[in-house]
Order: sequence, then C-alpha cells, then structure tokens
Amino acid sequence: MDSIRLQNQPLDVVAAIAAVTCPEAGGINLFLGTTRAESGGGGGGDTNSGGAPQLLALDYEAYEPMALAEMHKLLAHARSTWPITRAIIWHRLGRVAIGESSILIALSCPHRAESFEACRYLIDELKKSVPIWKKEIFTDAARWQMEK
Amino acid sequence: MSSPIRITVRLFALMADRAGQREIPLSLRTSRPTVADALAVLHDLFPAIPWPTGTMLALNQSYTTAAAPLTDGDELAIIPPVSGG
Repeated sequence: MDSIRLQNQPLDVVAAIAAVTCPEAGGINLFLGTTRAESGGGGGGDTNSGGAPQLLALDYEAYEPMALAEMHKLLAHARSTWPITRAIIWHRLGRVAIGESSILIALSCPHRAESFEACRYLIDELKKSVPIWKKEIFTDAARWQMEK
Repeated sequence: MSSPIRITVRLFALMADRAGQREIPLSLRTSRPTVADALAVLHDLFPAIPWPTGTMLALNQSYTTAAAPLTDGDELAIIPPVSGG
C-alpha cells in the first residue's frame, strides 16, 4: 500500500490523499515542501546593479537507488513507532520552479496526534539522511546548497 | 601478489561537477583494502575535489565508515551533505 518514489512530474496532492484514505484511519496528515523565493545569488555580492539576484528554481539530484532505500528505511522505522495505516513519500527530481512542491509526505493513522508525529519524523529525518541534493538556480548563477 | 580489487566510486552534486565525472573505476592493489584506501587513491587522482564538512560514505547503497573492507565489484558513494526536502 505504501508508495515511495522519485519523480520529475509535479506532485499530485489529490492522488496522494486518495491513496492514503482508508476506513481504519481517523486522520490524514499531508506535508508539502515548497520552493521559497529568495534573494542572495550565487555570485559574490552584486552591489552595483541595484537589486540582489533572485532565486528562479531548484534543481534536484539524487543517488536514486540509495535514496529510495533510505526512504523505505525511514518509513519502516515510522511504522514501528506509530500505527500508520497508509503512507506516501514522493520527492521531485530535476527542475522545480518557485512555488512548486518538491516533496509530498502523506499518511493516515487511527488518531490525529500520531499522524502529526509520524509526518514530522519523516520530513525531519529525510532532510538528514536521504541522498538528495538541491542546486539553487539564481538569475546570475547556480550553486549547490553545500557551497553556502 | 593477489589480483587487484576493482570498485566504482560514485560522485554527486558539487563533487561530480568539480571532478567532471560521476563514476570513477578504481583498481586497488593493497591487500584487504578498506574504504580509506580507496579514498586515498581518489584524492591522488582528483586532488581538487571539494570535501564539504559532513560528507558521508556509502558502500553498496548503505551508509558506511572509512574502516569498512572492500571487495571486488563494490560501489563506493561519496555523499556530500544532503539537502532534499
């Protein structure tokens, strides 16, 4: 029933909710991580042209087989801790424009408290251990997050 | 002399960009080589690869340490700080 995948296409929220809906669940928790507008730029200090470079998009890259394996491990651990009925973790790869979602986590549980806890655990841990990287595409340059 | 052990090193993100390669085949001639031995050879071949603080290592798609032994056909991945989500 669980669905874990990496995809280039936009994330389908309606399909995700349908996939985790089930009669045993009393609550569905859905987290969307979205690309936030930023200024700053990849070049060093652009003070003459008046106006800092703007973030246009993010480019995501993954070590795909390991990223999927790590996402399965996280979900297995979450299942051993909370009574998850159904769960989804979908992550975008490639270009993600400002305002679009890069990650969708949706899960259902018998009660709402555990659905919040499980969802928070999954997004927090995914950010620490799953081998996925974002490159920030600014109007003037591109840089990997780790170059900050 | 035992025959060399052949492994593949996988690079990602900033490291792959700077090395200009994503997959590097390595031959290791030391007896009972470890991940650390492979990293030493990698540094000799690509001295300019950046190594951000917090970089991790994975052997055959599971996190590992520099002390882990290598066997023929292994895939060693260098995992710079992740930034998914």
